[in-house]
Amino acid sequence: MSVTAPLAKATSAQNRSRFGVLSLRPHIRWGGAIGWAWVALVLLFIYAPTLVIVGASVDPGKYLANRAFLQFPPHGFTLHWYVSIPPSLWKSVWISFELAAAVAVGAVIVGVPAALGLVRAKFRGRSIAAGIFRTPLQIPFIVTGIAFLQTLQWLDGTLGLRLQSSFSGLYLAHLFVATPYVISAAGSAIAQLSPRLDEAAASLGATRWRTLWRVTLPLILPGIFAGAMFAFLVSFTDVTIAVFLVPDDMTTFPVWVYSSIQNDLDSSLPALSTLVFLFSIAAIILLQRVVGLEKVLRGSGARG
Amino acid sequence: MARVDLVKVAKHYRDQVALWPTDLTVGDGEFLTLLGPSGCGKTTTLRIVAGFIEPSEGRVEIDGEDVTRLPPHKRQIGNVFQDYALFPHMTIAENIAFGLKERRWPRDEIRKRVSELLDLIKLPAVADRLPSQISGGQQQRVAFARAIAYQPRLLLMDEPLSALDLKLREAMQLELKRWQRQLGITTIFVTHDQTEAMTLSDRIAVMDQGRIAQIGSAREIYESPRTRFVAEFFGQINLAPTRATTAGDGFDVATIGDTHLKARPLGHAASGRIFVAVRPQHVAIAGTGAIPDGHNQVAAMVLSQTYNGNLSHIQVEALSEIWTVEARPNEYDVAPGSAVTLHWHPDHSLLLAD
Amino acid sequence: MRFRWGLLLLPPLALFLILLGFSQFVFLQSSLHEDLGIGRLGEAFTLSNYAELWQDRSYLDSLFLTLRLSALGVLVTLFLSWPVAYRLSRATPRTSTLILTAIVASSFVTLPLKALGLTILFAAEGPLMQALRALHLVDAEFRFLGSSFAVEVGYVHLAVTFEIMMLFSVLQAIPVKLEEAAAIHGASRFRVMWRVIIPLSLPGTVSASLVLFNLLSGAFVSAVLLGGGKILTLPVLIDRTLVLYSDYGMAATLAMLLLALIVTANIAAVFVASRFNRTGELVT
Repeated sequence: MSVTAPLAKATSAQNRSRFGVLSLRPHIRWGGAIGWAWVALVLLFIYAPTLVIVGASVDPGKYLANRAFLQFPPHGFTLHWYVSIPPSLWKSVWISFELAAAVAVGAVIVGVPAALGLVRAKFRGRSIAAGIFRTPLQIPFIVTGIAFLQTLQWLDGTLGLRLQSSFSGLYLAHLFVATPYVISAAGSAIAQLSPRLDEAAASLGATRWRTLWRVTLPLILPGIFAGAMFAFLVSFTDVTIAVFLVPDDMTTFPVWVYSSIQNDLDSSLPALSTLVFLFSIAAIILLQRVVGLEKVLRGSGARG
Repeated sequence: MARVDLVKVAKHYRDQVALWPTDLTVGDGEFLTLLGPSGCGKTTTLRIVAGFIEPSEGRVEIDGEDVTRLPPHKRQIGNVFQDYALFPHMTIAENIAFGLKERRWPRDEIRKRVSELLDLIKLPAVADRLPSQISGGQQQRVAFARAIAYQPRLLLMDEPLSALDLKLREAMQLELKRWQRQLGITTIFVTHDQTEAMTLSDRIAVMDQGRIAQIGSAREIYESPRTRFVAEFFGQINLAPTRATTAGDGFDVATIGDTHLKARPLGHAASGRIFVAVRPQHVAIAGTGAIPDGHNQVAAMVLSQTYNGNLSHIQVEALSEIWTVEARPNEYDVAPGSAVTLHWHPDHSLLLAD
Repeated sequence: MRFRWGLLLLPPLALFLILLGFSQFVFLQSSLHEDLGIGRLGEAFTLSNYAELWQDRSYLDSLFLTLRLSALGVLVTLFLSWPVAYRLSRATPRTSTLILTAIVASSFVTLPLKALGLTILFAAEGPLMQALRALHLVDAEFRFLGSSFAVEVGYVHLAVTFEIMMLFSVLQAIPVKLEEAAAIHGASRFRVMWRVIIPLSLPGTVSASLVLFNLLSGAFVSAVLLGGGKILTLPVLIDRTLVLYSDYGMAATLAMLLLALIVTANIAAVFVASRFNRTGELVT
């Protein structure tokens, strides 16, 4: 087959795939269709349990020995569970939200300077420092949970504190595992900045702090925001660590769900979960509007 | 407007020398270009003056003040970068006003100055646009305006026109020259393009491997290059190595094989190889008429001829080298493979050190 | 003091070293002491906890179970995710962003909820199980909850979102032009995949799979909720030892074992990966 034939086919307009990739042969497009079918199946797989929950939240339920038994597909439609969500459940959602927000803020305060230092400082131990900041995500959450629990107990015992009955332990543990996300997102945003920008600002009379404030931070704000969202997400959905570190009298929403499933399933749980899920969708859409997820997902491979 | 002095400035890194100890003076209001191939040290020199690199030795003085240890934001130097480095999140007006805001100029003065500058660079309409919304050439002009906004005493430009296409580049060269004359600001310009250097500069410093090879006006460097590197970098030149030279009356005579060529004297003692050099446009091919008296003559064989619009270049083999003869398009009718005689006036012949 | 970027690094680094060091230290300590019950530890250093690891078979069984389930989970997830990541990496930015957003959104749903959804979905009397029984894919006695199948499904749910995102960023860094160049030279679709894309994405895929293996080895919620108390992976065992028996010493020891598993797997994978040169050929 001659060399020029594929080129001729390639440049003819009708071979340009709908998906933006220049198709050289018909079976590439065909392969694309199979790819989309696969994507659809996997999406279905990912969302199946969530859809079940949403469906179950409107199911009137079967009563079995005085306990409501939810099933899927729903055998009816009712919004009864939505209005009968007990206030204590709402409270746990609120606590999760507050904690996650505080973790996100803390992760930014700790993570952004760390990212700046990691990307811009030139010193020998840089990769070791980077590695230290990655360890929280390499240690299984269960190990982190237990380790922090024992540390708290030890501190309480030795220093006579009452840390275990506060959220401080859980906060620190969440901060520990959430900050790496901020460091990574902010770090890759910082790395994409041209060093000429800082030099330009300096030559125009701005000190390093002014340059940080007027040039660097505004430009990496999307990255910071994305990192903060991930930090929020990690804290908001965490069960494994929270199970060990939650104080006795209050609990977070995921922990409530976890123990509720094992013990006594509150029938308005699916309803509340659906609401939380809808809230998350809204948050994601907000993230997409403000930041543009492509920037986060494409990272440093975006050039070319 | 300032005078810049570099005194024995050098820069070395762990495994290489980027700049050998160098002295350089740029006069008040002068346009000096640092010219050379990549890696020659021109950008290093510029960045040392700007304050982005600390020299390993020597000092930098601006108007007599030692600024070597001064951080860049205190040096009051304007910078234009190759990629413009406009702040992507600010409008054009905000970009231009950046330095003014740092100096706490009052709001209306800033507005006035920005508008003046936009008029100067002939872009009055783009004040509220973002850098991504204007073309490369326009960005370049904005970068210039931003750099001179607060009237710095010195302007440094690192290959600012390299990213533009030819026509735009040539137009911008003339604009830049005009603005620089108008503002009278001392300027140091870095480029690897010798035509650009010749168009813009009062003086040119040709650099090679961390040293200044020659410094002077475009005419001086073109007509009297001191080394082979400078001659080859600046325009085209024909060379032939020679082993022996003897002094004559007003000319030196170089011997290559059986041929004796007269050339302008070297003027300084040189160790190492010496070359005889002559520019392509000064070489003629002998036709039916007689060769003028006193001209150098060399036997050659025609290899090929290329047509370049207003000129034609004929490649020949002469003195075991490949030489080029420049002529008008139909001046010579020579077929490849034919034997010809080249001739030129000794005044156009140079002797160059390696 | 001159401004140096490195200075910004110090407070966060200090905080992390404290959190990391302190917690790991206290925790390592308790594995080396005898447990006296109700969270108290004996005075003397002892390796008896570690000795018990060898003596009691159930611990080693748990280790191998964890290894098996995690490895299988990584493979299944890779199988599901790779085509998705590839397809998205070659799609227009708008489409891929939309779908990736949907995928990210799913991770906002907390894991116990997904487990709940799965249990309802696979309920014994529900339509899905009836269909599976009719197709003879499962026998009549099969119960979802408490099977290792259930735990695997939970694992894959946990892992798939991460894997797709990681593989996506690896694959979209491979320029489409390479595929086009190969195709112009006459390579079929299959050969383009085999000789261009897979070798180039191999390092990224390996490191993503490692991250996933770490994740699944430590996966706790899926195993507890879907394992019904019968699938005793290491995390489940650790939790039991701590919560049911209050044996802090042993729990810490088991956690050390888990860490050892993860570290060993990582080192082994890095070693194997280093035997392949940059273009994906095995170097002997």
